[in-house]
Amino acid sequence: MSDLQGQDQLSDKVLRKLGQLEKEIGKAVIGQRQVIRDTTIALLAGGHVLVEGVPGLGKTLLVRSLAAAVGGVFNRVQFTPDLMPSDISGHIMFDRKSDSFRVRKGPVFCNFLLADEINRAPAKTQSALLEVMQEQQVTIEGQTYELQLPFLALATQNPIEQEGTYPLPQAQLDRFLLKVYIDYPTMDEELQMVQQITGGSVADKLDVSQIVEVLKPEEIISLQRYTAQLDVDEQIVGYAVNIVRATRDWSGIDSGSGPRGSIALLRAGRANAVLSGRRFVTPDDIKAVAPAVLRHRIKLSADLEIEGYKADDVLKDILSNVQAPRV
Amino acid sequence: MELDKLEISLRRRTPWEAIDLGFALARRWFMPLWLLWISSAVPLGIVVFLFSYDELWLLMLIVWWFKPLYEPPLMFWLSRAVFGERLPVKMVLRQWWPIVKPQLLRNLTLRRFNPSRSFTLPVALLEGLQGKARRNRLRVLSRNQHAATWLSVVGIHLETVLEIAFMSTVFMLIPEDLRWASFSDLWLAPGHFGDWLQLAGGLLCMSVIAPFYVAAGFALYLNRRSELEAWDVEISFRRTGEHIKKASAGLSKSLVLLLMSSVLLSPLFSPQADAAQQINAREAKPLIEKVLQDDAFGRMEETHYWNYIGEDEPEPDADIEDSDFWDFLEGFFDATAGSFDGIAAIFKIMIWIVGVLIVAYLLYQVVQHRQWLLGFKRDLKAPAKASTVELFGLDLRPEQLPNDPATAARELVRQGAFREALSLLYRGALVYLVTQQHLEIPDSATEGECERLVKASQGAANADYFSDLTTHWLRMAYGHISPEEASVLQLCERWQEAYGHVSD
Repeated sequence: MSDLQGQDQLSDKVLRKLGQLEKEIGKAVIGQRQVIRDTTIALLAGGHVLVEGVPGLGKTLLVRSLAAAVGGVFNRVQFTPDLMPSDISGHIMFDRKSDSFRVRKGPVFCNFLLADEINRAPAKTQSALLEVMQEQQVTIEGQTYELQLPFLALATQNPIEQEGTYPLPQAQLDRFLLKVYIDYPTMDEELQMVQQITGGSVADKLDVSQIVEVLKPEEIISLQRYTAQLDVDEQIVGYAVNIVRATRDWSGIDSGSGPRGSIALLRAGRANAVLSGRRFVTPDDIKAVAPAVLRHRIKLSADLEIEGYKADDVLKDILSNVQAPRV
Repeated sequence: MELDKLEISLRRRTPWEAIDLGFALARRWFMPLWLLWISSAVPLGIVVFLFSYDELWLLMLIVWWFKPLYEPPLMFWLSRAVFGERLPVKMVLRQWWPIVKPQLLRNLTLRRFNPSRSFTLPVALLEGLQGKARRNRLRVLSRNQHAATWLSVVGIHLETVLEIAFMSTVFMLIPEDLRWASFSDLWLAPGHFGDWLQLAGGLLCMSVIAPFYVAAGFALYLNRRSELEAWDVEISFRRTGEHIKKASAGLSKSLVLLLMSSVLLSPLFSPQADAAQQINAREAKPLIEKVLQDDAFGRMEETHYWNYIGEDEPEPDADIEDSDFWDFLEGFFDATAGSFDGIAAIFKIMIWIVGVLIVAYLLYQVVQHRQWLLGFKRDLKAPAKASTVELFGLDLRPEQLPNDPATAARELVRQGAFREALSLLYRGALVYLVTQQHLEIPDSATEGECERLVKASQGAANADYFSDLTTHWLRMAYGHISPEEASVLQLCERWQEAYGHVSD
């Protein structure tokens, strides 16, 4: 019983800080609540996020704000066709002063990495990053280096200007826990944003100075552990699996999600429950995260794509047809 | 009527051939006919648009409905053109109102859906008949004339196909990146562009089909009259008469010349003249053949026809109207007795299948719209009990619940069965909402979605209670967290206030 109370206390303390985390990010990133929520879910679940949206909607600001609120190291890599894997992971160089080789670590050695326009780099470079995301370690010249935890990669894709890009293959998309759409802000949000950013600012430099550090990287790691250990009722597991299995037999889907989708659904569902202040996962948690978890794991049939349907339309159908858990 | 001026070749034709003739006429004179149609339709369209520019569907309906208004000028023009008098379009338009006016109201109302409109139009327009005379005339003309109806049926289909083709073409010509709506949205979704496109397409297709429709109807009418009044025979007689007249004029001239020459030359040639008069039959034969080779003679005409060679029928009773038709039918059925039994049986089965499908479809529609029907019943204050339901594996049938769920739950709490007690309260609340409040809850609804549905449809007190109940239920069901006894007992008390007895 005392263990349970202790867990409750930890949860309350942590939850207060988590609530504060979203608010702090919201100070710099006006609007985009769902994107902030999804990024926080990915952070808690120890996953990575693929963000799709047109340029200029605040993707860099989001990651920078997250880094500021958590006190982590932030790095950004602009993916280009000539980017090499070593430009991300690092390389060994000869130091003339010390007359020896020394390791120059790449930008991937950070807590929050923004991989901007990931689809502009060739497959080899993309694979290097995705491998780092999966393994959370980098091997340079046979030497393995652990990444600094927590590590969250936020990769972005531009839905327009697809010429000369290297679309991520399905197997690599699967490595992202969530795919998030970032959309234009509303009128009020944009007004507030413009006033806030132009007030007293000389250039268009991103201002995250007002963000207070609410969580430390170590606390994030303990939060991730707490989230991972959250109890999940069997019915909820069954519900998540049912949703994922439905994507495999659904008319209009060429290839559905694999078991990694079910795992991701539960991980994200747990994180959503923690963010909602609960110590247990409900069907609502699973349903809430299902679109972001599954939209990049399914491939629509050519017919549906030609007719202009999106993955979200089909997922909406699936979610309104899969029966909620029977307790 | 100057039949000899007819520009079409009259002969016995089947109705289908007559329609073909009409199409040939429409092709030949398409432009004036099309101009006449469009000159009548467009001004009306503009006038209607000024009054109902917001309601394009109404505009389309009116333009379509007033088709009988645009067709008389075409018929009038055709009736003159086939007799060689091609009136200028302007002249016809100057007389537009007198042409259109006769029986206009009836044409636009009672006769609007007459399937043989273009065939019957000449009776009123060209013969000027109305009332009983028109009916009698039509009875005679329409006997065994079904092609006119088929003409309308095919015309409607062609018009529809043309309009779909027009819309499809326009849709396909829009670059893919600029398409803001799907093809079905273009037809069905409200939006001015789709409506305007349909209006333009409809007008264009109607104007293209109308000359063919009117001309074919007119050709059918001409063919029928020619058949009844033997115009072709009359024309043949007239032509023969002209030939004879010409031939006799030629003969009289030659006779005069012959007389004069014989008078002048008789002293010199009298023996030969005598010889000519005495020519015998054998000698005359080549002469006759020579004469017959002249253009005025020697035309061979071969005619084929069916001639009935059976026994003569008894005289039909003149008092019985349409007796010919009935006799024909009787004879036809006698002759073919038993031949169509197999086909009739197939049709009978098909009619049954169609009937069953219609009933099944109606039942399906009733099931699909049961919510609406239930709502309708509720308005009539009739008792409405839904036979549902199972939700989250909970049996929600009222008979599966105790008479007083709150008391039963209280008893379960005292026994320490919190989960069962909360389940009973939650199930009871859902039964009340589904059966009494007619709240529609889909199978895929989670507890959170149920809560939102209740919030949206119920009063604040009920919504608050349901929210508390859901929170306790979720903690118990998925978190396995046992609630405090007092809070569950309190939920039992409040359940009574919120929902009362479900079985009442």
